[in-house]
This record gives sequence, structure tokens and C-alpha cells, in this order.
Amino acid sequence: MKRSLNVILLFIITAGYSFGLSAIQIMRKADEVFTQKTSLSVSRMIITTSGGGKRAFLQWGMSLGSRSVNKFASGFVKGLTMLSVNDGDEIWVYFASSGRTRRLASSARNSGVAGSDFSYNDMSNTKYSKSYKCRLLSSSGSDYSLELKPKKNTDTGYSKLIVNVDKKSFITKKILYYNQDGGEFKRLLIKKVKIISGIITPMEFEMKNLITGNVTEVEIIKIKYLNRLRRIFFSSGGLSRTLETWKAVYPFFK
Amino acid sequence: MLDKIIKWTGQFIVRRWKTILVSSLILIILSGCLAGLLFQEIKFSWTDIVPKGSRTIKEYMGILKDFKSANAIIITVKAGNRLSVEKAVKFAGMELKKEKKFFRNVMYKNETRFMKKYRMLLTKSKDLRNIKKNMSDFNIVPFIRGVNNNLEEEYVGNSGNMKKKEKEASMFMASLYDFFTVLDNYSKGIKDRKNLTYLIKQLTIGQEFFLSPDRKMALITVYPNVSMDDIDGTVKMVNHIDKLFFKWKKFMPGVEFGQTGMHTITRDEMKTVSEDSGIVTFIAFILIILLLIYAFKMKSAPVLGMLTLLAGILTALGLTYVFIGSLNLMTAMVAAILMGLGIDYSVHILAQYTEKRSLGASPEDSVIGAINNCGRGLFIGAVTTAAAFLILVFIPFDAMAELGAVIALGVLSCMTASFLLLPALLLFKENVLTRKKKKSLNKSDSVSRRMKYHFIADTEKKVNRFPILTLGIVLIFTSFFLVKALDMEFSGDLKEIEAKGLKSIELGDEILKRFDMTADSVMVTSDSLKEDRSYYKMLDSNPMVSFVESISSYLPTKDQQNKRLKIIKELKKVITSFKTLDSINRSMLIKEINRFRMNMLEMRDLAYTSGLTRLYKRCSKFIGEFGKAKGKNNYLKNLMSNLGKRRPGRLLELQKAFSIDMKKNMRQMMEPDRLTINKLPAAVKKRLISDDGKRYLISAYLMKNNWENISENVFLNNLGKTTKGRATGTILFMKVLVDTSIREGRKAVILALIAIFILIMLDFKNLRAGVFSFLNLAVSAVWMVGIMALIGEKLNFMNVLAFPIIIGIGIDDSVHIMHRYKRLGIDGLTEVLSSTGRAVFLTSVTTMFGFGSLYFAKYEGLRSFGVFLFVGVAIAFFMSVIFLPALMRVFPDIFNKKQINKGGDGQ
Repeated sequence: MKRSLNVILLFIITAGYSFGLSAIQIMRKADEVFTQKTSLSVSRMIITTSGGGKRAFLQWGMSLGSRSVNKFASGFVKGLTMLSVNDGDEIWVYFASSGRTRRLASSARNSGVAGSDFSYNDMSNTKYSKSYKCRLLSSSGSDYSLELKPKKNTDTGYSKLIVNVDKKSFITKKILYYNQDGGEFKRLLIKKVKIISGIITPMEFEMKNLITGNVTEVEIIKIKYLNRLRRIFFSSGGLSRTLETWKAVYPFFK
Repeated sequence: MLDKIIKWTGQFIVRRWKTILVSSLILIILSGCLAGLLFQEIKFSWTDIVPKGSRTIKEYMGILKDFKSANAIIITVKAGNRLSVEKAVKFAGMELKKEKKFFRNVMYKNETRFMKKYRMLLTKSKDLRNIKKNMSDFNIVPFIRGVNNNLEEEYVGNSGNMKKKEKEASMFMASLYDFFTVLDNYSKGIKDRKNLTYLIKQLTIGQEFFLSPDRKMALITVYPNVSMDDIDGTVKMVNHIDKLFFKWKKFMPGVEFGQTGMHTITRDEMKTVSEDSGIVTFIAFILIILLLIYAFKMKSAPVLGMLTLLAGILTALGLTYVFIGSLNLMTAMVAAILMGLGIDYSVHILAQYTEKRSLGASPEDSVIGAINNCGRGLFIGAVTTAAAFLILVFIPFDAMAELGAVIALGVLSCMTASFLLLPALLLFKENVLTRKKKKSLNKSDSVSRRMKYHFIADTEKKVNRFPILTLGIVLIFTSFFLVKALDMEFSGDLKEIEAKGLKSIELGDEILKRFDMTADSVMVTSDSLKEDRSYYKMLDSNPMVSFVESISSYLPTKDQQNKRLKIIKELKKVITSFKTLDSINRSMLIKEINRFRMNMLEMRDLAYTSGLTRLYKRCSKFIGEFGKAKGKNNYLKNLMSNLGKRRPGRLLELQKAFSIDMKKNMRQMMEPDRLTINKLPAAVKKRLISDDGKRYLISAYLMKNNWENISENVFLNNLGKTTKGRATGTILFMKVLVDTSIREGRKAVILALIAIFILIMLDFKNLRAGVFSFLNLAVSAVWMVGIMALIGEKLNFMNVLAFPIIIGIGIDDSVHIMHRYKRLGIDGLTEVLSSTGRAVFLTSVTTMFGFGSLYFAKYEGLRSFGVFLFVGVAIAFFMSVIFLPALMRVFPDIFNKKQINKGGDGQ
């Protein structure tokens, strides 16, 4: 009898997962998939303007919980470093040209990182299930389609998101962002995903500003997950550490 | 029944050719008069072809009626430096104001008097607090310190702000460069009073003229008395402006003047089209004449063919005047379209006639034989094409419906003229003109052979040795071209239709480049100030909008005014108590300049990563561009080094002059009373408030043209939604046109193809024949669009007109071949291709010459239209003599025995 009950319970739980997931449950699972882990990465960001102009930047990055730091590794602005603390609540920039570190205004959270179409907010470790109210729009085909509206007193910079989540893997495949006027604004596409050290990692993603027509593509060239990183690199005082120091401490960047 | 009528027609012409000629002459004269009247009714405006029910066009018409400022002409003044530009603008502005006959209003400078009094009240509270905190001490060192604080808070500390305010930041940088130049001069002992006065004006009241951030171009806006619908008036006015430029240039040789706007573009378009049509018609005419003379061995053939065509076109235009009354931008092309379609009917008759004559038949027998042989094909081909176009009348898009009706009339007129007038002219020629010469009839085999093109049949035989293989290859290519065709983009970009090098269009691009804003605006009207404010706020915060002008930009709300007045009062206290110091701390000065250098380095980095080229260049003026920051390029380093060597006492004079004048100017701006609508400058009210005072106009100048992929343009779609469809302007017309053309065009093509299919079926009474003829047409159309997509052409308003022609030509070619095949069967395929194939070849080549000559047109739309047709006609011919015969070879029993040889090969 007990065994039968266990089987029934297991069936109900499985069925619940397979058929009856609520919007918030789906979003939580999607958040779990893409939660930033402690990592080192080398990436390339290519910004293409609607007029055809192209800018490409090589960046080195470190991620530790709600903090991330990115350093321009080539070109004229080599050494320019950005630190995001508390998922973008605090943003610091170190200018190698002047040797000064500056804290950006809090309103900069919703502006583009290095002139790209990704805001500091987009790049942060935001848990959508916490900041937004979720509603399931459809679950036909291979994706769940969810409508996300920001919770009261949450400044996300958007009035609404439409998120497509893969039914099997819970990988977020596409996000359509709506501006404060309610019009379509940006579209994020996750183009390539890879499992590295057992962690689902978006390797290529693209943000298109639907209004200006500009496109920002990010390609992760290499990434390594670690258990811990030195905290000094994630403080405003540590931003002036040079590329050479990064290499010396983390040979991954060599 | 039809065959009987055709047979009777041939005999009737032979009996009554003189009557036909006289009646035709009367009809031509009458039609010519009506056509003359029609050409006085051409509507060149885009507004005439936008669907009348569209909200955009209704709003636009409403604006034109209620606001006298819509549709302005922009005059540009360009020179090597600011002083020359300002001098020229002042002069040109005054001169243009004298031209009351043409211009209602001229705006060449900002409302400086109004700004002097109210600029502070128009400044946001946040910025006023910033002025109070950072910019209220005009002693040199504190002033630079304030600038530094401001830069760090506003731009370096908020890179998002920097992107949004690039133009404003660039202007501010230009003023700061002026400040340091003046500082440098004073430190050298040069009392640069002129530049100091200009600098103070810049920092307080703002710009006097509408200068570009590089200060090398200025804009003058002219509001004409002439309506866009008045073409003669428009041409006269635009030409007059050109004459004024010519006159002014004589005594201002270094200054360049230019004009743009819808009036100017319309004039330029008309000029280019008429120049183009002259050259192109000449090339086409010569090529077609040479071809017809060569093909028919008759010098009179082209004359007769052209006369017939002219009669057909004139009749069509006369009927258009009777039934429609006017031509628009789309139907104005009808004469060119009919030249391509109409000459074909004459060529078919001439081909059959000359063939019969070469075989020794009398002129009368040749006429009867020609009409019997190709009459049914011509009639069915023309009726099918006309019916396909007439279907467009039921499309709820007036421009397209009119186009359909006019082409249908034209096709029927040209066919009738070829049926009746051309044989009558041939008989007239043979019986009256050449009777006296009594030329012996050459019956030799070689002449007879030359009247048939055996190479067509020979080539077909070689290619179609394995007809199934041919069909397979065509299928593969068709699939490939179909994919390409489906991907083809519809462009609403005016630049892709306009003539290359059209000055007014190029000037629009230059304005966009220099001012970061389009010369043409998007307009929205509102019924209340509240609504005006909401639209203003929405547009002003949009990243695609460069500049918004509305009553709200001049009139803050009561609440805003109260808050600002409070801060202004506090600011006034600070400025009143400000005192000029009688010393300057050199080391502090150098320290602040160095801090400014740091800020420039950081702003340059941010501008570089953000792709803000203009701001990057502005910052680089102080510190040098990347990799070029050494030596004289590093302006600030050199300045610091020089200041270290020079006597600081010299700067005291600058400090005194700068601080006294700044204080004076600022205090003038500290006495605003509460602003009401009545206190706004008259010119502003005239521009932005309707004549009855009940509506308000908001004009938004955009950051880019937005022509690309106009149908799916998110900004324009959002704009439509947020303004509840009230937004209007040229770009939105084009969007309505593109959207309607795509939506209704698709419907029209489907309906036309259904009509063609039904008519073919009724004619052949044979499913296979109908399907094969139709398939030939469909495959030709797919190949044409696919090849065009492959060579990078885009669909636009001009080249879509190629579709009806291709449908007409494609179906004609198929029907002619199929009709002859119906008479001769598979055993007579060689004869079908050598004889009817010859006519199809000649009609194709004449059409290719006619439309191919458009390749030489400067007008880009005409060029692409010509290229489309050149390729399309060539493909239609290729399909008719290769693909269709391949189908015939694979399915030789298309017609049953009863249908084959029905009526024989009419001799």
C-alpha cells in the first residue's frame, strides 16, 4: 500500500512538473539555469550600428555572486574596467587613460554598457522571477512564452518583457523588451549554448535595439568556472590592477 | 464565333481601309486634344497616391489647412568658418524676407530676445540647481572647477546621459574650446574681446543662428505661399531661390547656398524625369527603328508600327481623361508602359504580313492571312491582360485601381489600333504610295527564309533533346529563384528611387550628418495643451528623436514654472552676491585645467566605446586623438605648459571682463515673469498654434531617415500606436504607401492571375493548355524577381510597375505560341517557333530595347524599372521558346485531334 502511494505521489510530482508548471515556477527554473556562477571569461563584443558601422572590443571578465568586473583587453581603450556591484546597483569605472576610478550615477544602471545595447541591468545577475510578475502566455510548441511585468517599486527600465523558455532545458531562448511607453524596444536572442563543467553557458547572444536598429553581439571565447576568486578584484580600489596583474594571478587570461 | 469575327474583320479591312483611315484620323485628333487636357492634370504629389481613407493623409491635409508652417523649404548656408556663415545667414535671411510674393515667413535666427528673458524659466529644475551649484562663480579658476564638476556629474558619471545628449555635449565642448582659446590669447597679452563677447552669449542666451555643431553650416527655414499642389508655382518659386543664390554668390564667393524640402525635391524630380525621358526615348526609338527595319526589310515598317502605337496610346489617354480625369505619380508612367506593351501587337501583325508577302501573297491576302493567323492570339492576349488589370479597379487603393483601369484601356486601344489601323495603313502604303514604283515582288526562297527565324526552332531542338531534363533544370532554378524572390525586400527609401546626385536629396543627407537630424519632420497635432505636453514628453525622450518643437518646449506647466522660479530666485541671490576676485592662483588654475584634461580623456574613452564620433572629435581637440596625443596635438598640455611660463596678471583682465559680462547677462535672465501662451513670440505661435487657436502642432526631427525596411520599422509602428495614428509626415506617407502596396499589391496579383487563368481556360477550353500557358507566365515572373534579388535590386514603387507588364508580356508570349501550336500540333512545332517565335522574338527585343534604354536614366526608380523589364522580357521569351516547347514535347497531346488544325494555318 505504502509503495503504491509512493508511486502515485511520484507520478503526481512528475506530472506537475511536466504539465502544470505555473509561470513563476517556469521563470524560477529559467533563472536557475542562467544564474551567473563564479567564473573567468574572455569575450568579444561586436556592436553594429544601423548605418553599418562596426565596433569590436575584446573583454576579460570575472564574476563572483552579484559582482562582476570587465576589462577591455585590446584597442585604444585597453585597461578601461567596469565593476558592477549588487547586480548593477553600484557601477564603477576605471579609466586607464586618466588613472581615475569613478562611480557612475545610479541612473546609469539602465543605460548601455560601453555604448552597447545591453544595459548594466541586462548584464546583471537579475532574477527575473523576483523582480517581475510572471504570466504564462502560451505553452504550445517547444517553448513556454511568458509575460513579465515589473513588480511595484522595481526599476527595471522596461514596462514589460516577453520571454521564451525552452520546455525541456528551461534555457531562456529569447526576450522581447518593451519600453516605458509600451512599445517594442529590444530583442535578446541566445544563439548558442554550451555545457561547460556541467553548467549551461550561453556562448553567443545578441541584443537588437528594435528602434535604432543597432545590434550588439557577444561571443564568449572561453570561460572557466571556479569555486572562488580573489575579492580584491571586485572592489573599486582593485580596478586599477593591470592586465598583466590579471594574467599573473589567473593564467587563464594568458 | 471569335474565329468568324476575326475572319470577317480581315475582309472588312480589305474592303473599307479608306474609311478606317479617315475615322482613325478623326479619333486621333479628338484623343490628342483630350490627352493634352489630361497632361495638364498630372498630380505630382505623393499625397495624391496615398489611400484617401488613411489617417496619416487626413492628418497631413488638416495640418496643411490649419498650420501655415507645414511643408517648409530649408535653405542651407555653408562656409569655412563661423563668422562667414553668420554673416551670410543674416544677409540671406533679410533678403528672403523681402520676397513676400513667394514666402509667408522666414526663420533665420533664434528668438534671442525671448530667450534673454525666459531661458532660465525654460531650463529644467535639475539643471538650474546644477548652475547654482557649479556655474555661478565666474572667476576663472572657480569657473573651470564648476565646469569640471558639471562634466563629472553629467557626462563622465553618467555615460547613458552622454549618448542621449551628444549634440548638446558637443556644443558645450565647442564653447569650452572657445573659452580656453580666449584664455590662451589673454595670457599672451592679446585682448580677444570679440571672441569673449561671442563666448558669453553662447554660455548664457545660446546660439543666435541655427548653426551645426561644427559651426560650418546654418539653416534658414522658409514658409512658402505656394501650395505643393501648384506645380507651376512651385517650379517658379524654387527656380527663383536658385536665382537668388546665384546673385548672392557673386559677392560672397566662399559661401555655398542650397535648398531642400518637398517643394525643391518635386522640382528636381520633374526636371530629372523630363531630361531622362528625352535621352531614353531617343535611344529606345533609334534602336527599335533599326530593329524593325532590319527584321521586316521595310523602311516603312517602324513608321507604320509607331503610328499605330501612337494612335493607340493617344486613344487610351483620351479615354483616361473621359473616365478618370487626371494622372498621378503612378499612372503618369502609363505612356511608357504602353510603349512596351502596345508595340507588340503591331509587331505580330507586321511579322505575319511580311511573311505572307515574302511568300508572294497580295497585300490584301497578306492582311487577311496575318489577321487570321495571329488575330485570335492577339485578341485573347490583349483581353486577358486588360481583364487582369481591370481587376485592380476593385482594390481599395485608388492609385492602383486607376493604374489598372488606365493600362486596361491602353492595352485594348493599342490592340484595336493594331487590328484595324495598321492593316489599313499597310494597304494604303501598298496601294497608294508604292503603286507608282511597281516594285517586283521578291519571291525567292532566301527572302522567305529570312522572314522566318529558324535559329529559334534549331536552338529549341538542341536544348530540348531531353525535354524532361530541361523541365527538371527549370524546376531547380525556379525553386532557387523562388527562395530569393520571397526574401526580396520592399524599399520605401526615396533615395533608392530618386535620381543619383539629386542635390536636394543629397543636401537632406548632409543636414542629417551635420545636425544629427532629418530635414523633414514627423508631425503630430493635439487638441489641448495637456495632450501636447504628453506627446512632447513622449517624443523628447525617444532615442530616435533628435529635436522636438512644440508649444510645450516654450511653455512649462504652472507647477514647473513655480519650482523653477523658486530656484531662479535663489540663483539670483548667489549671482548678485558674486564678486570678481583681483587675483588668480596659477597653480590652482593649472590644477583645474589638468582636471579638465582628465575629464576629456575619460569622455574621449566613453565617446569612443559608445561610437559617438562627433563627441570623440570634440574631446580630441583638447587632448589629441588616440595615438596622436603628442606635441602640438595635445592642446591642454601645451596650454598648461605655456601658462606656467606666462604672467598670471594678464589673465586678471580676462577674469574681470568675463565675470562682469557673465554676471550682467545672467542677471538679465533672472527676472522672468510667469510665462503664458500670449507671451510667446508671434513667430512661434504662428508655427505651432492653428489659425483658429484650437490645435497645437508638434514637430519631431529624427536622428535618421528610417527608410530601411519601413514596413517593419518598430519606431514608426510604435509612433503610430502611441499617437493613436495621429502622427504624419513624408516618412509616414511612405510607410502607408508601402504597407498598402504590399497588402493590396499581393491581392491584386492574385486576383489578376485568377482572372488570366479563367480567361485562358475559356479560350483554350483545355486544362493542360491553360495550365501550361499559366505556368510559363508564373515561372517567368519567379525567375525575374529571383534574378533581381540575386543582383541586389530591391522592390520599390517604380519597379513594381514591371509586374503588370511582365504579366501582360508573359501571357501574350505563351498565348501566341500556344495558339499556333493548337493549329499545327507537335509536328508543326518547328514552324510554330520559326514563324510565331520570330514575332515573339521581335516583340521581346523591341520591348527590351524600349525598357532597357531606361538603364541610362539618372532617375534610380526608372533605371531599376528598366532593368527589371529587360531581364523579365528576356526570361519570358526564353521560357516561351524553350520551357513551353519542352512541356509540349513531354505532353504532345495537349490538344485533342478535333482541336488541332482547326481552321488550318490561315493563308
